[in-house]
Amino acid sequence: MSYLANLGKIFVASAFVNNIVLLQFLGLCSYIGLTDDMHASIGMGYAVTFVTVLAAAVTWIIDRWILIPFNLQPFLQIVSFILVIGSLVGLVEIYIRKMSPHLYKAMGIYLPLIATNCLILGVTFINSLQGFDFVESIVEAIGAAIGYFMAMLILAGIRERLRNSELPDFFKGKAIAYMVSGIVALAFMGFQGMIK
Amino acid sequence: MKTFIISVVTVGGFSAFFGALLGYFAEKYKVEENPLFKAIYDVLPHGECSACGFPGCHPCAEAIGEKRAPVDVCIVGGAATTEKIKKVLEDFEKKTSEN
Repeated sequence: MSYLANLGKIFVASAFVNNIVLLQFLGLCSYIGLTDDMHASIGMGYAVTFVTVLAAAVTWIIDRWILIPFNLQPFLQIVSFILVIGSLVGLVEIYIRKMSPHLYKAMGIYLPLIATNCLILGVTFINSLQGFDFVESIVEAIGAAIGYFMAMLILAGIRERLRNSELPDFFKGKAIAYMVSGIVALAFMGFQGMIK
Repeated sequence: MKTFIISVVTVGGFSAFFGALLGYFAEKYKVEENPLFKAIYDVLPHGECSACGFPGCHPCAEAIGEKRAPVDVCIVGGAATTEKIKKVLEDFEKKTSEN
């Protein structure tokens, strides 16, 4: 298989077949917490995309050029990856605070919490475990981030409709959000077996 | 011992690099803060206890400044802090009416 076809396969696999939110259950905190507001979900999608792709690039360099040659990978991987992710989130936070105070307010506590979002650490670990090269790592990160963005948009759209529909009282709010995401996850399972 | 030194040097180097980067960007994209929020924040107890219902003393100061919260919202500070906040708000109103 050519290199380009391999990249396409990695992208489809990480965005659809192994969708990071709906099928690997990573990054559920902001997925459930922020999807009651479409505007905040879109902002969060951009922020997570930016952090994931940059984190994948920087951690690949650290992993391949420093941790593996000096045999530090077993105990220093989590520390150094979290350091990179935390700094990138700090950057994004400073930028959003300056450029869009309204979005900063809407995202509230979930913006600094991207630092502990397991999606981003998960992507960097997948890259390390699979032994991807630099371009493959970036493609995997873009795919995962687009998968997250897609899941956020789907759930935000559905929850916007649900707000105006008649529900039993005990289904309102987060309960129905979980049920809906379960059904969406079932739909995404239809992609299983698309890639061999 | 060699591993120890390498780990300390790498993590220390990363921390210094990212710290410098963050410091630079924090200075470059500085947000001008409302002087009223800062004045209220200065008289709060800085316990960051969240007993007022806000995530910390700074969000609490913003809420008081925007009149989303009453002046006596700070439980830890008690009556003394309430008096100080009232004084800060009065001073601020005086200053804005003068201008």
